[in-house]
Amino acid sequence: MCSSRPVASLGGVITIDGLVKRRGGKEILAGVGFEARPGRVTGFLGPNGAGKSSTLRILLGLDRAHSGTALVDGVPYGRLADPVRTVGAVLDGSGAHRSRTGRAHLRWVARSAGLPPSRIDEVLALVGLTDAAGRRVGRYSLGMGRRLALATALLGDPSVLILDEPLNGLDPEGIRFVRTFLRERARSGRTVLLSSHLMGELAETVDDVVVIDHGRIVARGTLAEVTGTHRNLEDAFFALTSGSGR
Amino acid sequence: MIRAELSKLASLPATWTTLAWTLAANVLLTFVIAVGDTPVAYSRAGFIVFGVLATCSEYTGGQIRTTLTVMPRRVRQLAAKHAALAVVTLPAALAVALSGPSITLAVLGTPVDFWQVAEVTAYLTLLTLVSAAVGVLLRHTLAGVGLLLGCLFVAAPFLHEYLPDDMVTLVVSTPVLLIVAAVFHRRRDA
Repeated sequence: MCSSRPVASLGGVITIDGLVKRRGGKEILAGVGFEARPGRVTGFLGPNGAGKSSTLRILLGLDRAHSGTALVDGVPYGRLADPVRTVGAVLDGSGAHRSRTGRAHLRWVARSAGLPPSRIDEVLALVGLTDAAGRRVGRYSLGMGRRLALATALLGDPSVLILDEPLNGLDPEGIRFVRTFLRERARSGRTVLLSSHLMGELAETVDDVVVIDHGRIVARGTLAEVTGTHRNLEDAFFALTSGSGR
Repeated sequence: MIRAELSKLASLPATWTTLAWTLAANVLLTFVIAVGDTPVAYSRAGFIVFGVLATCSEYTGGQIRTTLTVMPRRVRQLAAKHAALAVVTLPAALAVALSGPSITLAVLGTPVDFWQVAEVTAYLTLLTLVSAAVGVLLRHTLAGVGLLLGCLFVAAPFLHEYLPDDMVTLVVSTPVLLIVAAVFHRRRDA
């Protein structure tokens, strides 16, 4: 089930090379590099504080790297011609102001990219937030906030989806929905890159695995390659990151 | 991008409450003081709050990450935000600037000085833009409002003899602060 091939490539290759980031004199990324390809779900795994979020924030142009490159289809995020239709990002939280309604949040994002208002209802229905669209984001549960963030990311039907810990705060039904949904995105030829520290939750979802620890990539390859001789991905993960003092 | 930023401002309840309270306070103070332009001195506080809120509200709920991922060209995004802010502020400033003189006209029969109304409108709009720029730099609503109120009501009266006219100071400081804010906005980690 994890060897689905891209049906038709829509572009959306992520290429990260030699990323270095220092914060407060501490090197939090020490030359991070990997690729995420269309038609595949790439799991970016590592313990908390390993550098997953920092890498994704640089990839999305939110933070600056001291050196190295993070490109989508060969260009840095800030120079994408049409970011909303190219990349959808789900970072922690809802990404919305609490006193706005869910619908108002989606409306301004849609306007920023000139998307038709009909897309708002489509993505609301897709993530199951139609009934809560008129409520203020501050009244949303954690899971609803996450679903709003996913809806926002999907507005432009992008070829790349980047998700930071997408399963955090979701109930079992939500986890199942996200997993199935991400597999579906990859099957339609899109690129999915997600970070997680939950190995068990991911083994059934990812095709490729990149493992980061202390700001360095310690393993990358297909799920089978990274799991190797270990019993499962979780065992492989702990063997790879055993130097991290856990 | 301006439409997106307008949509953001319009869907923020704080926009309407701040502006409504400022206008209401201005009308009330006009009755209390009964001198045409004096209440505007206090109404400036409302426009400061509005300007700072417009930019600092980005930092609530991690909205700044959404903003910068959907509009990654940061200088353009910030310019769009300031343009949208000016579009919303101008009519509100005009309403506040007109409210005092029109009440004194009705009650005391003092004619409205339209030049003064125009000057007050421009002053309040520029003040709002400066406040927004300070909000970008500080990323903290309370700190921004506190600093600006301190400058306006504490520092400015002291420095008055060394500074040119209020309006001149604003006309000079607005573009400077907008540029400084844009430079920082572009370079900093979100």
